[in-house]
Amino acid sequence: MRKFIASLALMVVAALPAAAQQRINLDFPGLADKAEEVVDITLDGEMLRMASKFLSGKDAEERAVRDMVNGLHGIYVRSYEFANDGEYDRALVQSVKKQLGPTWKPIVTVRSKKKENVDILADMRGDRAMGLVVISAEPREFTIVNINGPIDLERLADLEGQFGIPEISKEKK
Amino acid sequence: MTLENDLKRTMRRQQPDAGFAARVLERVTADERERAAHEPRRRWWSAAAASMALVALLGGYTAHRVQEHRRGVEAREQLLTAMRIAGEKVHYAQQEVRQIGTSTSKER
Repeated sequence: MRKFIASLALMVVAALPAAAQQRINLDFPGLADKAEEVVDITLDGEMLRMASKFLSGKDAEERAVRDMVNGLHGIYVRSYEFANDGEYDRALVQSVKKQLGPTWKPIVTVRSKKKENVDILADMRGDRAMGLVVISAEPREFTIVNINGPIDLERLADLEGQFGIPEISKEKK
Repeated sequence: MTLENDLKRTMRRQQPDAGFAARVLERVTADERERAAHEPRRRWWSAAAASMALVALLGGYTAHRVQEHRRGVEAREQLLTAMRIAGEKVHYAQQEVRQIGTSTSKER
């Protein structure tokens, strides 16, 4: 019995880092009102599992997505497109970064005067990325993606443009 | 003593009048006949109630399945959109890093 309790306690302790992952606050009051187009996606564990069931097993790309989201705890996307340059506060990028704990490491940082600035940060636990935040800041567009759970960056990048899904249908205002 | 006599007189055994047994039997059979006459109607109502309950149950279950399917399809669309956005941004960052790497190696 003692052994059982000890192993149970060990399992709970081992599970703690995953459970300790907190969802990043991606609510930016008033930003959606300023934006011309908005994408707001919140897929928690239950919704992800449900979505996975509806992905085709025959389609290679959808199968790839299904394999990738298997084990994830949540996917959150906020994307705002504005009519004019500088309609959002660039300090939002820092406000998101500030929320990230010490395990979060910058993986890629792209600074461009002409195109978009992209920050990719990963929640590194050992050599595994257990979470991902992608912040993309353009003069007229601000996008944040938060993936909660073990994620393979290479596979994620490979997905781009591969599957025949329609153009992002943003909520038109 | 009067009370005792009254009681004795009241409680004394009496024979039922002629035809009592026949009347009782007739009443019993009449009740049974009446019950038998209502039985098919009662059965019909029970069957109808059970059928309606079954239809309501099946309808509720179908509506639930339709709603779940709708939610699932919506979640699938959202998931694909989310992965497309994430993939697009990561792909862009990777490309930029590769471009820098290529131009650096050319300079050398």
